[in-house]
Amino acid sequence: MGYINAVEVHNVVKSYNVGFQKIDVLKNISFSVKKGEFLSIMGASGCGKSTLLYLIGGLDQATKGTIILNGKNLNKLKENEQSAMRRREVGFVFQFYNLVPNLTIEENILLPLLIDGKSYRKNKSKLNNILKIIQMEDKKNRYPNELSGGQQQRVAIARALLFEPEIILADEPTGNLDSKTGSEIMRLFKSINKDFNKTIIQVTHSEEAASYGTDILRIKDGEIESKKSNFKTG
Amino acid sequence: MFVFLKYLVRSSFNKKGRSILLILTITISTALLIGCIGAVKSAGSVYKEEAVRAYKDNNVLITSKNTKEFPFFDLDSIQKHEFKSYIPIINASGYLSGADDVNIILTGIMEKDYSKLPNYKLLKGYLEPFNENKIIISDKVSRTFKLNINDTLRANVRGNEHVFKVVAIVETSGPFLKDNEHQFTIIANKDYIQDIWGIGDFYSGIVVQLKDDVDEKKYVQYFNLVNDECSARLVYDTEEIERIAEGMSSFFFFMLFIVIIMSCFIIYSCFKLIVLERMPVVGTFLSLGATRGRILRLLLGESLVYAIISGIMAMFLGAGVIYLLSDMGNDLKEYGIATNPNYNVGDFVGGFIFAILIAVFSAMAPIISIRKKQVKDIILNTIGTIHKNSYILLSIGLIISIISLYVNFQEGNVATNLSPLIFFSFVIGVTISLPLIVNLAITPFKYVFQEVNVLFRLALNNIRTSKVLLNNIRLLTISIVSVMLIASVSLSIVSAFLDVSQKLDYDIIVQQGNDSLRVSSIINNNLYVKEIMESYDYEYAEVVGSQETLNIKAIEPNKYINFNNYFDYTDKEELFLELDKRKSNIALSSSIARKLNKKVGDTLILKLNNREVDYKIIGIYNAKLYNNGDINLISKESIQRDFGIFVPTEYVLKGNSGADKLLNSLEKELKGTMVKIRTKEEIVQENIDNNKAFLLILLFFALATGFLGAIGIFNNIGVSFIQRKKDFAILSSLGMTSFNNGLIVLFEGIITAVLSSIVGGGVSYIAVNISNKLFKLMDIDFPVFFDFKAILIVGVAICVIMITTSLPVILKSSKLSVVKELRYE
Ligand SMILES: Nc1ncnc2c1ncn2[C@@H]1O[C@H](COP(=O)(O)OP(=O)(O)O)[C@@H](O)[C@H]1O
Ligand SMILES: [Mg+2]
Repeated sequence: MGYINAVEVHNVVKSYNVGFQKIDVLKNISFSVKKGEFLSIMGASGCGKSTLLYLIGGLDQATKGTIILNGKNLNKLKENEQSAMRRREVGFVFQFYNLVPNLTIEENILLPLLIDGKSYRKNKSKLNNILKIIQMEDKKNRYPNELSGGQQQRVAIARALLFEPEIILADEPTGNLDSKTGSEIMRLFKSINKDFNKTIIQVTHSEEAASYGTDILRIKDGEIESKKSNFKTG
Repeated sequence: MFVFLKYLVRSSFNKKGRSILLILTITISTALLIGCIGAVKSAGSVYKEEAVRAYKDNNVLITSKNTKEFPFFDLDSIQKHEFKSYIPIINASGYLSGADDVNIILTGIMEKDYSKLPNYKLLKGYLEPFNENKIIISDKVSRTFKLNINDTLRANVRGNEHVFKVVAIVETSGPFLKDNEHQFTIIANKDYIQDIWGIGDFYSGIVVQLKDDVDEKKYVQYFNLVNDECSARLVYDTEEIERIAEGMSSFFFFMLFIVIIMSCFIIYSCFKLIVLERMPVVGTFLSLGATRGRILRLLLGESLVYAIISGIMAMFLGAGVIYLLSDMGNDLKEYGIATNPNYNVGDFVGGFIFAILIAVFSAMAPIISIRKKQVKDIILNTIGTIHKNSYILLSIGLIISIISLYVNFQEGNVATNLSPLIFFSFVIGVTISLPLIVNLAITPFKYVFQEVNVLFRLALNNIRTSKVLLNNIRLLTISIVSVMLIASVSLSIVSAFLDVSQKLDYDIIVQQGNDSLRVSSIINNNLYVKEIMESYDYEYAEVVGSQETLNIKAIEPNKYINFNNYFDYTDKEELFLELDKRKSNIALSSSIARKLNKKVGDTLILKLNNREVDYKIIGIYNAKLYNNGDINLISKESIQRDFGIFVPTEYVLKGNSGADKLLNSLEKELKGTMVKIRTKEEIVQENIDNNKAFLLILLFFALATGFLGAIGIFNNIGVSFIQRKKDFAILSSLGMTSFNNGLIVLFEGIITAVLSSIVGGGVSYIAVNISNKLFKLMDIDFPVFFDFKAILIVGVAICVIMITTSLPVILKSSKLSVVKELRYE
């Protein structure tokens, strides 16, 4: 691995056509995230944070500019290569958990592996490990709607971690949780970042949540306001 | 509340597909209902029209009994004081000289009567005096055979050639109604016809108009009681027509019932979805203080709107269905009798009310279910679209279907008598418990495919858990049952006729004409005839002390034993041995025995030809489809001795050098005797043709259910995708390619097709088994067997339907925007 940056964003523009008008949501954004960095993206509601995160994860396409993820230019990947990358190299965590409602917790966590064509049986031990980390061994046969929000979010995090991806992207992972559960989730992220040396990029509103990260990127009106290291806890 | 109303209107217009589905469903089932009722009522109208055209104001026909060898009577022997007007007639027959296949009916009337002929309208010519060889012909015959006034017509009557002179051409109605290029009527003075026919001043019939104060039905009954020589019948017998229509219509209404159940189910599931989708908005309105009652009423109002639109459309479509069904049933079209459907305002209003009832009632359950939900749940929208098995309901369904099965396979009459109930409780029970059955069927596969293919496994899991996808299997199962039932009945009817022909040993049947002595002597002297079996049929024999009438067939037992291998006998030799004894013995078909509640060894008093004789039942056999199972044997000797019937109704013949030679020779020799000569093949074909309208109408029902099923499924697949868009987006975010997402939808379609074919195949197999008992209950011992070939075709068709209806969704799934689905709730 001859690169040090997990993510590089070069001159990215994202615009939407609304009616006859073109709206630039992201205006020429460039920055990079080093491997092992825990970056928090902050900014006012509607400033384009989620848009940026989805672009990085390859779920959406930039109007202009390039994004390089683990050394690969997203623009140059075919659809199935992008899908493969989403399975193996990126883990997603969403504000509303996004679990598949008709699959059990266990099945939800294993889903990326199964989609990748990996064996269910051979990954049992991995699954049990991760269930232990999120402290949900006793709930593996439950369905998502039988869990609380915090529990569901932990399942979503487990799902993102299972493939041991280098990069974890989280869009307001605590935005829908009470502050106590939120802190638990953030501590989980922090330990994942430190103990497993994973790169994490999270979008957040809360200064408290951001304080768990190593760096903070502030966006205002589609442009970067600042990118600083978080000395307090870093 | 106005805002909510506005919301409802807008959202129902937004979901165009579903609105169309709802409207189509209600419309089709209502139109079929209106159509069936109207068509059954119209069945008689064609015959009524025929009666009016042929007889006008005359209401009774008196004819000499054709059971005598001299089928004529003396006019003075008939009491006439109840007649308002009457035309005595003498009928003879012959054929057109020089033409091989043109029969002529020669009708003689008194000179003074010609203007009294029903619907008489002179177009050309002058009749006075109407005597000698002068004849009246119809306009149609004049044109077909290029005969004009003063032209001559040569006819061969009983082997002699006669020359007639055309003096009048009249409108083709009344006695000429059925004139065609193979047979027509000419009318001459009765003296001349009696002379040609070689009889004295005798007649063969009277066309009668009774006095206005005479009850025609009572008159006919009384006449038949006191007259030995002649019999009377009504020109148009409402009850008789109704009886004919009834037999067929019971099956139509049965099929209609299936269509209606299916419609209820579609409407129910549509409204279930509508309610689910509206839940968040309902919640919002509830939280803003709207009462639940208002919202329920508004939702019910929505179903009412669909019902009213559909009800109006169904009236038009129903009128079309009535016309179509009546037109199919009109076998008098070739005589210029137009289909005259019965458009009864009451039926249309009834249909409209039915549309409202079916829509509102089917929508009721899901709408009412809001009532049971907690306001909090509605507001927070925590009621999912995921199937939560309510095991109690599913188990009840399963228990109902198992009990139905158990009762169905009981010995004895219980299963037969309860068969309609069993049929529906079984089908409905299975439909209710289907999620349970599907779950049981799928679960093992879920583990098998755990390691094999995740797409397949996800598809299986989706079917197991999605209400909408489960409903597809339900819809398909009901469709398969109705289509298979129809296919099996159709196949069984056709093969029953082939079976009859294969198991009856003869070449040709000659049906009696109006010159019995001549016919008998020609057949007995024909060189190509090897074997002759006479049959004397008496259609409405009475059984004293019972309302039932029987169809009696008097035969020569020693010959019939070899002829009829179609019936199921218990001891054939014994039965015909007993019939051959010089005693009054009778053998009954099983369906008649059941109706009369008689068994072997019992006696009954048979009344034929006004004579009552005690008969002993010496055997019972299953006559299956032969004359709808109503055929009861006595010996030729008995019918002659006990009832004085001496003229055979048909001759069953075998040739010594093939059917064709025999046919050709007999056709030539029997020309002009009005006999009907048919080979075995022709009879089979005729039977099948006679049932064509019935089979066609069945097909019509099959298409209706298939169509309803297909649009229902098309809608459901779309809805199931819309409901699961987010799930698919999640899968994409986890690295599923959109191609694979499409594959899941495709797999769902294929699994649905396979599962429904298996479940539907099994259910329809049992349904066909039950339908055997249904027919038995309708007094038809008719073996309906499962059409295995059809289930294969149906299975393939369902796969095709599922794949094609999945395609639009697969396309949509490839255009799915992950970000859009995941970003906002
Ligand atoms: N599909 C779209 N069409 C038009 N505008 C959009 C679309 N998606 C997002 N936007 C706009 O882009 C802006 C940024 O959205 P987003 O990235 O979700 O903001 P946030 O920083 O709150 O996560 C918002 O103003 C939003 O309205
Ligand atoms: Mg956002």
